Amino acid sequence: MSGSSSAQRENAAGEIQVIHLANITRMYVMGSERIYALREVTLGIRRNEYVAIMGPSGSGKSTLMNIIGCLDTPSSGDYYFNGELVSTMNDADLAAIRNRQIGFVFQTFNLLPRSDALRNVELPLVYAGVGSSERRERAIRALEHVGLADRMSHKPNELSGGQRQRVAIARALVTRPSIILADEPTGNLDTKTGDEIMRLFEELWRQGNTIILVTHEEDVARHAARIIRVRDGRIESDGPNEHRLASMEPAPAKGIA
Amino acid sequence: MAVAALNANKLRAVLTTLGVVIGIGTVLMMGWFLAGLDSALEQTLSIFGDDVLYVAKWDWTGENWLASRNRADISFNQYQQFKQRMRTAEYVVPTADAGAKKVQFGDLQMNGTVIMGAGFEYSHVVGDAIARGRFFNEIEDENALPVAVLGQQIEENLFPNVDPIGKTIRIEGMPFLVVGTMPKRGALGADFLDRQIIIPLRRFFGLFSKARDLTICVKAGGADKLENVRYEAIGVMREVRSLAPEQKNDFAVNEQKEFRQQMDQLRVIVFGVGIAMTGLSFLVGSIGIMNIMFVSVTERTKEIGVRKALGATRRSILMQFLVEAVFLCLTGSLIAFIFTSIVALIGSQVLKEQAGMTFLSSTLPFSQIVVAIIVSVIVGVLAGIIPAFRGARMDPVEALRAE
Repeated sequence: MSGSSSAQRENAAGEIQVIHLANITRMYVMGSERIYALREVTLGIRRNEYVAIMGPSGSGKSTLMNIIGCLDTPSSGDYYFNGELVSTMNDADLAAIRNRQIGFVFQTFNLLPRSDALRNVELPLVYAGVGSSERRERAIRALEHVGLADRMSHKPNELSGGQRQRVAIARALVTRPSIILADEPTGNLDTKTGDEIMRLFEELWRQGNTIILVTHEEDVARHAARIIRVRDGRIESDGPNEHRLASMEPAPAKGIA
Repeated sequence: MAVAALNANKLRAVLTTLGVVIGIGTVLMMGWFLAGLDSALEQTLSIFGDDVLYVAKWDWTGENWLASRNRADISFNQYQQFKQRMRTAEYVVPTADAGAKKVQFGDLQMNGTVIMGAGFEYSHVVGDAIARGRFFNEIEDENALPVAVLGQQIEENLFPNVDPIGKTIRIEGMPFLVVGTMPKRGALGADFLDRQIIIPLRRFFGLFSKARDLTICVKAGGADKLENVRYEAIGVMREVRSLAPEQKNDFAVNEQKEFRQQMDQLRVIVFGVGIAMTGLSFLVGSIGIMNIMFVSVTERTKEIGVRKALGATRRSILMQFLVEAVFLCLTGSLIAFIFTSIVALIGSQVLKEQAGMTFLSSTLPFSQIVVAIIVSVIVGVLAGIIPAFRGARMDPVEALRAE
């Protein structure tokens, strides 16, 4: 399926898409059975889009997210990241893409419990081979960006859920990735804190970041500008969000804690 | 990161490190003991000299002991003939011993000393003969004057606060003028040297009668000449002892090599026991380390997933766990080092006071510390590599799903 021309990877304006999936299939072999998590998915995401990938559990949205996040490789099909074919890359190359191009935000935050906020945010830069003084500087800036300048030396268990998720967002931002990939980012937060986190994503989007949300909650997906619905391993619908929350005010850079 | 993870499981880490502690401890103890043996050996050999033959009735190797017992003593007359005929030797010096004698100075008294009668050239034969004062000279020797050179232990016991030079001591009631003292010479198997008093041989005969078995010291004047001198000494001695061609030697030509052989046997025993213990404890230790690393990898599956998502390669995960395993081993060797240092410090003191073993150092040899560090790094890598590989090869999606 590598017949996808460069035209397919570019939009009408001739701009290269950040994410371009062409006929992506992910199949698992379970004994004698073949289970298709994704079937022939074709999908493009441009720079500075705010996309929600939606679907019930078992729909294939997690598999899609794992492939977009370069955590998993497709069984067939081509995946281009910033115009580069990543579906055939080896472990080390994929690790480098994850490290430099993708900022992950997880439902359970996934901070290292024994490291303070600053060390957690520094971690991707450690793997990027950034020197310690620059690492520190950039981690501090990322934490300031999410309004946690005064919580840098706190361990995760000394932070609230919303604060933990903001540390995780700072960690995702610190490498200045091409996309931020958030998997149910408000799933473990109460409504009010969840709204704060969604406002932070809104702000990051307005600042030019590309954001991909993976969720099964309509309320969360409504924040996005484009919604991709997945069902039974196929894209059911893909289009602009007609009911985008209009009341959304850009969050102030600070003081939202 | 690796260290923080270990912190959480302190007790388990300590227990599993115990094997490594014992292993490294054994290596260090063995090194400490062997280094002590070596220095004792060198000290002893330097006293006996590496180019000196000791012609005597007794065989130092302990062989022919029964035969030696029935041999005739080497008499002063035989020594004189021997010396006269020897051409290749640098020095030929007679000595004789009389053990367990009473020595007094003022109110102080010491039993169990060894009185040695020697020719005045004896100080040229042995290394390190004099610490202070002088050895007795030819005139004193020829005229059998009552002069004495004291061993270090005797000086210590009889002259605790006084300079012994010029003082008069009594040996078996007879007065002797102290002209010199010997440095500390007693080492492994030669501690009697420090309880020795050397007096002119002719005086010795006056004190203990002339019917004494002599040992003739033959200094070759260079280790390379030793074999030639040995041949000549055997030939000359056979003549002096009037042996017929078919008769076996009724004397022995000893040298310090015999001590070295005995010492080497001891080394082999210490080393063998040490290696066996070390191997066993390292086996136990590395299984422990491997176990704790497997637990650590399993417990931190989620963390491995997160790290991979953030850009950790297989290699960096592998390194993380290897560093952790090596750190465990290094901690173990540090504990072993501290423990062994204390043992060395106290042990050397106790063995010196209780058993008179003065050859053990109170500190560990530096080379042993380097060896211990290298060994613990190797054990850490070997024990950690399989668990670390398992962590490194985890699928990031699966790992992230773990709880």
